Amino acid sequence: MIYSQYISILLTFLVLAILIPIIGRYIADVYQEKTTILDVLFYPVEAWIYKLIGTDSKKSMDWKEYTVALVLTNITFGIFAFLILTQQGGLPLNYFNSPDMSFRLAFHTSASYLTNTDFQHFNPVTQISMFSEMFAIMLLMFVSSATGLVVAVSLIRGIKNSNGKIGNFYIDFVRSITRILLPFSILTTFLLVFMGVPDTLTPYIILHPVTGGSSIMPLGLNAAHTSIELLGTNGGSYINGGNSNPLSDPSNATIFLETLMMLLFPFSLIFAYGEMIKKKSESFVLFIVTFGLLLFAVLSVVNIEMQGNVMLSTIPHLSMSSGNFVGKDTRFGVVYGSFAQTVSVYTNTGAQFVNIDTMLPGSQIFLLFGMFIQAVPGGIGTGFTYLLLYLLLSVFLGGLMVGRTPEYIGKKIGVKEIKYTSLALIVHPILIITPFVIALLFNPFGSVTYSPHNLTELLYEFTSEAANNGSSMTLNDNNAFYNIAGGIIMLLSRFIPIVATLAIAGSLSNKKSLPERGGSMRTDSITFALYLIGVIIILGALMFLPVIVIGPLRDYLRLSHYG
Amino acid sequence: MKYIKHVRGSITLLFSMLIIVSVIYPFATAYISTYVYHSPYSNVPVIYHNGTAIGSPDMVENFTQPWFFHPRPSMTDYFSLSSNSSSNYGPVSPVLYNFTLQLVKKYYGGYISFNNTTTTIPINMVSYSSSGVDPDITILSALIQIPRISHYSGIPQKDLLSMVTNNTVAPFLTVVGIPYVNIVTLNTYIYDIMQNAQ
Repeated sequence: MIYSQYISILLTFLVLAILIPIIGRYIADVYQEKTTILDVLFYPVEAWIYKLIGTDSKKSMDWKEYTVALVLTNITFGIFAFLILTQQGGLPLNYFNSPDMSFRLAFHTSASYLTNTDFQHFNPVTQISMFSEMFAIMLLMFVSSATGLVVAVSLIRGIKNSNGKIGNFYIDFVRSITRILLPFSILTTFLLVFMGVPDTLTPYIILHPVTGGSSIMPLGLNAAHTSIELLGTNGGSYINGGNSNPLSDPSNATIFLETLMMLLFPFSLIFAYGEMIKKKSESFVLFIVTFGLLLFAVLSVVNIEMQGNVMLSTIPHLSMSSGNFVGKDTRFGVVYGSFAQTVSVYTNTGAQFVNIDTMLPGSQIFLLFGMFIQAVPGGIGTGFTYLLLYLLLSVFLGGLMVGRTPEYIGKKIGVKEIKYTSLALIVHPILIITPFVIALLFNPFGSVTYSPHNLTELLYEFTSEAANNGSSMTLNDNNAFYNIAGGIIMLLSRFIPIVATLAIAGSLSNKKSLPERGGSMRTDSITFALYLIGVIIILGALMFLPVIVIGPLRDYLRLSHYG
Repeated sequence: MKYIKHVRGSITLLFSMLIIVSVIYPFATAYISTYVYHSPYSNVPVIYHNGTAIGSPDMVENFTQPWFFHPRPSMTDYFSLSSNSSSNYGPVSPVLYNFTLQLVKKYYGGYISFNNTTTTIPINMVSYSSSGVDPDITILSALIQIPRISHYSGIPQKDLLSMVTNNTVAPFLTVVGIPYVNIVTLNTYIYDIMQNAQ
């Protein structure tokens, strides 16, 4: 019974393994501008957009120009969404009479969706109108996913090219949306609708239940939202209760599909990398690292949750044989629900499949760890970027240890690359621990009670924002401190690493690719994969062990008293 | 000033993306979904009774009458859209312990299971869900309620038992998830039977 449920995890990865090469090759083709199946449909549309933009569609950019275009575009989209959200009360399609968002909440929300975090400090049904949903939320979900993809692709080009150019931002961006995100979103929208998720312009239906009274069932653009939410590893849900709500995820078939959707692009991008640099063995190493660490986390979390809550097992006549069902919906079961949640956090999607707040402290440690390292497999594009940053650091450290020139695929790793890599990696702990300490010292709005569980919630809030994850534990966080601090954390932790990554791409693209010599460390071996796993775990542990001890580890020890 | 052209680029990009992802994508998918399923609600299951929409298997109602299957506990006020949240008790919280203890006492040998003391109470029946509107319960959670429902509704126990068996949803591909029953569906059957009996 229980073991057959573990097979469901295996089955998911099996289907994923079949999809990865197909989708990965397609992604590689899209970014190398080879002919693909959708050319007929989208080529005229793209040509029209490039013409309006006025950029020469053949001209490749250096990293500075690419960065300027990327940042300006993101600022434009962010401001537009902010304006829509603050004005939504007077705009059309406002079926639930959602009021204008306050400036601080609109800042947090637009920052959150712009950075692929999708952290929600609001009630998605009553505080977002259908107009805002289309013109702010959906827009930003596509844009943030596309931004993640183009950063990863420009880094790959930096490794590949030797002419100082990393591609054309507009082409990459438009193609990310028209060739990858949009077609797959449309496909999965129809799959979800087929499985019973609503997708309609009718905002709600009024039910008159036999128990008396009446209740409102919100419908709307649920399937369209859920598709890009999961494919683009965004995560902010259309409806309360996240993807555990039966309207977003009505059956055990939909959770299977939705779990695959989250994993699809982060893993396919690793395959596309091997295709693009024409060295499949390099992406094989990255597969071992990401898949190994993800599988370890998944099995640990599922095991912990299946053991159940020791504290509750002391209650007489209570059967715990189905695992820790607290905060989990029946149709997913404890095994698959916990699995989907772990995947959701590890892909930095952050969609809620089970309630993280009531998961056991051991599971919470594993989830936090996934957000600390952000790379196994991490969000769309960004996860891959972080993985390469860890890899560059490992190559550098390894090179120093064995006394060889640090080299990666024929490119020398110099001081400049390591400086930017360190910057991108150090921003993360700084942006978690600084606001954490500020909150502890000043106790804004009385939200900190200093219990171990409350400290975990607080730590989780900032970690989720700094990792651009978006999953949350229940913390009373819609107030000025959490809105503004959160918005700033999300923006900094998104754009500092992006700019640093583009700088690395630029620096690498200026270097000549050296022919392989015997003198450099091999990066396509199992040994290197194990070494990279070690580096990732040790870096994560060094940076974050102290804060783990304050919150979840204390809870863990308290719980073990009951055993 | 070399980069000033990107201001134009980003604004053009904004408007072209608005057309593609904010207008075409949602409108086209919604239009096709409602067209294909001939319903303004697309493919969402809605239960009708004499022309009135009385419920949906995707949303649980507050079934408190003793002749209905009871849902899992929830902090949600089922009729309100704004308070749809799940449990926020920590896993080591004494509040969680006491809450669960009280519910187990209520179910074990009490009103809910109709003084049935032969079986233990599954954790599924006494814990909050994640969505707060979980319309499903495990088979065991349904079985412990059968004696009570039979007593108050007048439906024989074996009929209720076969009703549960016939409506059991199997795991997807036989492994994903666990077998469960949807209580909105079951309660609609019970409601129909009781209406016809009158």
